[in-house]
Amino acid sequence: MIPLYAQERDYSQYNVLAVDDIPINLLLVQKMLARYNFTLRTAVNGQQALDEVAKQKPDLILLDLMMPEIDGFEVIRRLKENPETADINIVILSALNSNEDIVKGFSLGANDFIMKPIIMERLLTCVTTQFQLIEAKNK
Amino acid sequence: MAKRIAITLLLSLTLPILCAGTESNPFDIDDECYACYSEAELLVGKPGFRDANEKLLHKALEKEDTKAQTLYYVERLKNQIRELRSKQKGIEADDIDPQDDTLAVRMMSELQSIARKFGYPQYYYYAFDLVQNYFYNSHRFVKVAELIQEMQRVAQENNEPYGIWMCYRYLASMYVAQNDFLSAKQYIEMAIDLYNTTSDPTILRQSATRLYCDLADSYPIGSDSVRINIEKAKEHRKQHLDTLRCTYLEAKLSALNKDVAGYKIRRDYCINDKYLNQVSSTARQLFKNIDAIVFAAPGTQPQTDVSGMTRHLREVKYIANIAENYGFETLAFDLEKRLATYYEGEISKSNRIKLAELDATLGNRELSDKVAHESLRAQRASRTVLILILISMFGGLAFSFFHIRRLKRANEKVRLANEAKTRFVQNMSHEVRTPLNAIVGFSQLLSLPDGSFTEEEKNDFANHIVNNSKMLTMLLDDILNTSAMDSGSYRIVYEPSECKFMCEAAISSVEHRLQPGVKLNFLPESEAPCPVNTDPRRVQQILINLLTNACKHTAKGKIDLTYSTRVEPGFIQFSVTDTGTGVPADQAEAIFQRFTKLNEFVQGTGLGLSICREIAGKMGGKVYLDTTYTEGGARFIFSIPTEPPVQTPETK
Repeated sequence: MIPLYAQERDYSQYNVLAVDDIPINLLLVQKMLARYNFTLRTAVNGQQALDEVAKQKPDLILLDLMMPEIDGFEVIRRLKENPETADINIVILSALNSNEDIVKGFSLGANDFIMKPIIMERLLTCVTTQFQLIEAKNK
Repeated sequence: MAKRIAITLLLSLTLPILCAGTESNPFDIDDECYACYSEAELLVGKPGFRDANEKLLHKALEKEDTKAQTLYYVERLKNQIRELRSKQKGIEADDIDPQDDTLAVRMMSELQSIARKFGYPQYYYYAFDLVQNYFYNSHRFVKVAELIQEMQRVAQENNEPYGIWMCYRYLASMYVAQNDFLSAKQYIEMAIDLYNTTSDPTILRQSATRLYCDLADSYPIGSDSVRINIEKAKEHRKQHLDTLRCTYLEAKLSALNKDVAGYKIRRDYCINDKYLNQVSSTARQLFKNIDAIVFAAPGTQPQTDVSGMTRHLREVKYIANIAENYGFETLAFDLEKRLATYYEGEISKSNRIKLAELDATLGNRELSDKVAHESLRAQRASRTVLILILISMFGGLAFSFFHIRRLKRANEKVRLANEAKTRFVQNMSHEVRTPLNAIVGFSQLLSLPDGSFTEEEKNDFANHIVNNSKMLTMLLDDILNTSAMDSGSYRIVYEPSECKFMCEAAISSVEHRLQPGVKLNFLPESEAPCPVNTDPRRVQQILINLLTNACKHTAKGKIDLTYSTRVEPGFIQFSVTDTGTGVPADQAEAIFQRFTKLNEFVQGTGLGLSICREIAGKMGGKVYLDTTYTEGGARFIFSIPTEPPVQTPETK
């Protein structure tokens, strides 16, 4: 069930940040992505996510939308506002599933949208695709 | 001479006896509370009132006397209105600060919600009374009519004869004040009829004296019916105020009949009474004016000051009549003239603009004409015709205004219900997806080829799946329970049960929800068995709900579950106390409403507590937030009778 092209790759140079206010969701993402050797950090709310980004800029953010105070949309807006962080790839992982929310996420600058419940293959292919895009951009 | 002394003696003997019998505590509240109440009552509108009233509240809370607590709110509203009135002295009706009205109406609603909560509908309506008087005294008759309409609506909706009865009385007093005695009489007679035929204890607790006094007042001054109705009023006396009221009417009548001695005795009795204000706020002024006529030296023309009394038209009318009887025709004519000016000036001035406005906005000419026509029949003099047309137009307009408002309100209700439904579906989508995410996700991890995860990890995954499945089940149960309760198909099955067992069962189903480091303690009152005849599944459901809430909102510290049979005889009281985020006091009731969540990011449907309350109610018990618990965190109390309630129509 792991995409063939992704199985043998080395992703150790990548740095990923997963953001969700429900700890069990973070645990699940961690376990699903456990086979890859990239660095995976976590944050449990919008503010913590911004702090983590300031500490060390990640290559990819897996972002929940419904969070207290600073929600996912606001996190995207602030990251895109700052030229330093505007180029971070963002994948939304959310239980919000209306067309309106999806369009809003993309129009703010998200790169992909995964609906909860998360299907593992969908998450893995999405993450590896994002890495490929980053590689292509850096060439 | 001897006869006169006999009357004096009789009066001075019977009156104190009547007072002593009823004045001690007419409200049937705790005696110490009553002492505080009397003190506050005398200070209404004066400095020191607030302290006195706070004292009443503290005493009432200490004695757990809910009626005295309600009286605290009554006094507060009275005082507020008195303060507003003195602030507005000399201000035109149109220039009154609308915030004053908002304040009065807000305090009225506060009193009303307290009265409803504690089950004293009479104070619910009394709140209307006070605010009506407030509007009435500042000549805002449209507002008065609106309040009467509102009151009638509430009374009819709740099927409370007391409210309807009060409506009759208010309508009557409004007509009396407008000199339309025929209409007033009609309403008073309806009120008397209702009084004589009703079985409503709240009405019967009132005395009929007031009604007969009003009826006496509705006849032309000097008519025989006045005397007859005062006699009837005297027969029905129950309280000290009744005696005072009768004596007041008799004083006026004596003055009219040139019974100077009788007038003097009765006047002195009234003037010396500290409750006179409750009978008539202008009584003292009235006596002063009558004195001027009755005791005027021969050949002099008494000067009476009626400017402060004009809003009590009836009183001025009395003075005019008395003046005429005593041969002061010029004075009587002058008073009548002033009354006429007042009718045409004051009443219409403040309302003419409003009327035109209402007329234009509503365009409901036909209805108001019809009502006006109806009232025309009841007219006696051309002057009152004018007033009545105005009043009935206000009435008609207020009615149609209300009708439109009622429609709007119904519309608004539907819109809000729809909104709540949409919010619910959106929220539910999120609520369902969260446990589903864990179930689907961890199942996928478990289905990976061997070697991906250690046994320990796999165990954890399985546990996550089980716990989240339970969560999802609870969620669905909540929704199904709510809908079952709405459709009335909810069953309660009583059977012998044991408290300790129910508590332990509830604890075992929530233990996994405790946040790390939080302790859940079970502290029963004693180890002895505690049998109870109830529906154990429902009790557990409520306990689980309360404990689950405590787990969600408690990040550190502990959660205590206790029960006791000693707090209330015949009841078992469970309590769940946590050291979590707590509930703001002003949200104590809101949290029991459907879809209310204090923190929308904590998981849940917002249905749990409303379900608890409904189930507990069906079992004859109750669930509430203990607002006296202020040590950080929250304490929820849940109590049920040890035996099923005798009447259980819901248990079918």
